[in-house]
Amino acid sequence: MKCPVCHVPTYVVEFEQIELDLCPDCQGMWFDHGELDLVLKTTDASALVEAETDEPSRPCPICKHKMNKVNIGPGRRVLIDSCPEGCGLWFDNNELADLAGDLKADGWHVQPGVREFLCGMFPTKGDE
Amino acid sequence: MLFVLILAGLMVVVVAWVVGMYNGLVGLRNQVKESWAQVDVQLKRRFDLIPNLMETVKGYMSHERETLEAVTKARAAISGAGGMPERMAAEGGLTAALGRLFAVSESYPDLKASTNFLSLQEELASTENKISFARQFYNETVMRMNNKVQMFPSNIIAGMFNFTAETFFEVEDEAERAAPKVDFS
Amino acid sequence: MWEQIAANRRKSVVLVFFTALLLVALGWFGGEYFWGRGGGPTGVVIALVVWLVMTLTAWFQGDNVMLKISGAKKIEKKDLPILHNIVEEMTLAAGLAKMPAVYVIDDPAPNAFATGRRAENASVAVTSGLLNRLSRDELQGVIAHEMAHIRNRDIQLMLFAGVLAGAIVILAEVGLRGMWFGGGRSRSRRDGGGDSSSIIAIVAIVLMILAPILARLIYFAVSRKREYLADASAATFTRYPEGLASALEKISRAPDKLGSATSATAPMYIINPLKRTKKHMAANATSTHPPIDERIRILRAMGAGSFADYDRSYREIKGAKKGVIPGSALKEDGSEAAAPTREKVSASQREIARQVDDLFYKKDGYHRIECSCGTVLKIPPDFKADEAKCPRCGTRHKV
Repeated sequence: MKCPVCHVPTYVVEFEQIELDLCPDCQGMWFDHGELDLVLKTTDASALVEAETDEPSRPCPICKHKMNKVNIGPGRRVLIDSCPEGCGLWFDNNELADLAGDLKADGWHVQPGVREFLCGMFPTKGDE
Repeated sequence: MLFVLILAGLMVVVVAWVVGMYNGLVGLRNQVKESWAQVDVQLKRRFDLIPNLMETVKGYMSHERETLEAVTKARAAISGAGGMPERMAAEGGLTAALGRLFAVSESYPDLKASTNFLSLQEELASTENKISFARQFYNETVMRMNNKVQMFPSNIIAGMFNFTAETFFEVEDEAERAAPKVDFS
Repeated sequence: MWEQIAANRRKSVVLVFFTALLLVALGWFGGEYFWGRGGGPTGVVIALVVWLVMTLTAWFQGDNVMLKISGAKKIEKKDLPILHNIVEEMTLAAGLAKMPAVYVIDDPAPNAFATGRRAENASVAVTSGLLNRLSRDELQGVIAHEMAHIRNRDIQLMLFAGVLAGAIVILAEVGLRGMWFGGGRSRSRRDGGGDSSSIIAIVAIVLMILAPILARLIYFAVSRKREYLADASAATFTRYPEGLASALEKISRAPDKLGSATSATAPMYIINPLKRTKKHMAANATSTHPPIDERIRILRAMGAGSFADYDRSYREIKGAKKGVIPGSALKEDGSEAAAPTREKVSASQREIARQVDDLFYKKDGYHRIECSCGTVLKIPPDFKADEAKCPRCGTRHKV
């Protein structure tokens, strides 16, 4: 897979049985469809909300379709890219850590293990 | 002359019918045997997996001696079982004991994190599935056999050549309910 | 259940005979057209030779070719124990004498197919996209459906039917191109054929246009019926129609189109690999599969898992008077012979997905780095940067 921002090959990071693709240049992160489901299966049906933004849209690294800008997380404060075909989600550098922080602060209901994954993945951010 | 010819023709038809019926019954009886063998293979597989499982869990579950002993005992009861009904009861007992063990294991996070335990758990749960699918097919075959043996006109041939109804492999309800129901999702 | 197999054989004979007639007619009129009067037998011989070669190739190489073009990789029990176990379970439920070989295709589109000349040496293939999306129960439903295709002898039927239709399509195409470049027509005029040759020309053109369509229609109609039967059989194997129903639902919502499928291999898959299934599609004469929504609704409405339940549900959903299950199959499954309970198996979706991923990482030559903080980095062979950073602890690993 190639990073949708820098177009260089990404590498894979596995933690707590969840995998994500990471760009060595911009530190952006990609969640595949399956992983995404595992990570963000919330009881909140409108987990992803379409967002208005001027950020340029990017091609999905899997299907090359233009990705949508969406807000995610409690308070919908984190802005990420979502593939319209459901291939997965792209988080720019720090966006995932922000989400982890939001999740820790708020009692948002997510799939068991997800909070542990995100907070374990970004221990310093979450503990501040 | 014509009468003799008709009689001979009738004889041929009857003999052909009898031969066909007979061969069908033999085929079914062999299928019953074959499908029972499949059930048996899986029951033996489960039997063989248990020492391995006990070895893996005993370090983690030292407080659950009763549960562990129940599994060991249930396994021993199978080797000791005499006739078929006794064996079936013993197998049901093992299913129940294993179910309890896996239910208890839920409260041991260290154990659940062990890959060795996880693969053994999948292996045993799948073997449990295989037993019930093999049993399902065995029971279907037995039913076709029994229909032939008991229904007219094939029952005439079955009676002549001593084909008897086979027994279904039923499992008692209690054992069924206690079967391993473990979900990690 | 045994009746289905017999019904299958009868149907295949009728089908092969009718489509073969089309092939012979196409050869005859094509021959008459291109080689003038008396060319018919030559045309028939050519048509039969093409068909024979294709059939023999398909018969002896069909499963290999199909597995090769789809890029399937054979797996053993140690590679993917859960998938292997599920296939073994369904082999027992179907009462097959030998377990099919198991293959995995690295493709994000969720799909599965079965292939093989005989039930005893069949193969089942599933895509990594399928394994990544489905739970164990859903996977079991899909494998049961494929096992039903093997047990019901659908593979052979569709292989023969497909090759026949394929031969007709190829011959008609070659013929039409020949006409386009004016091959036969001028020659037959020189021969002074007159009226009869122009009639032959018209029949030849009509046949070359219609025969491929007709051959395909027959093929599709049979294919659709096999799908309903396989769904019904799958439910009788697992006694849990919801597993397959929910799998079909997930598969139909998935975006991807299968890269390696062609119209010839399409009917082998559990859902049509060529069409986007997002929107509701009406069953039309040119689809190999019934509309997926309908299949799901039938499975959901059937309740328990017997042929009779499926047949009743089929009639209700379709509003049809006639069911889809052959009569004696209904008679045979009427008993209450101990439906086994289903036990939930401890394999989560995540475990299956991880096993699949690791399988392909190994195959694709990924380099594994285990970070001391507990994460694992997997570096692709085409990685450009010198080092990879662990996002958890910030350690930089040299690559």
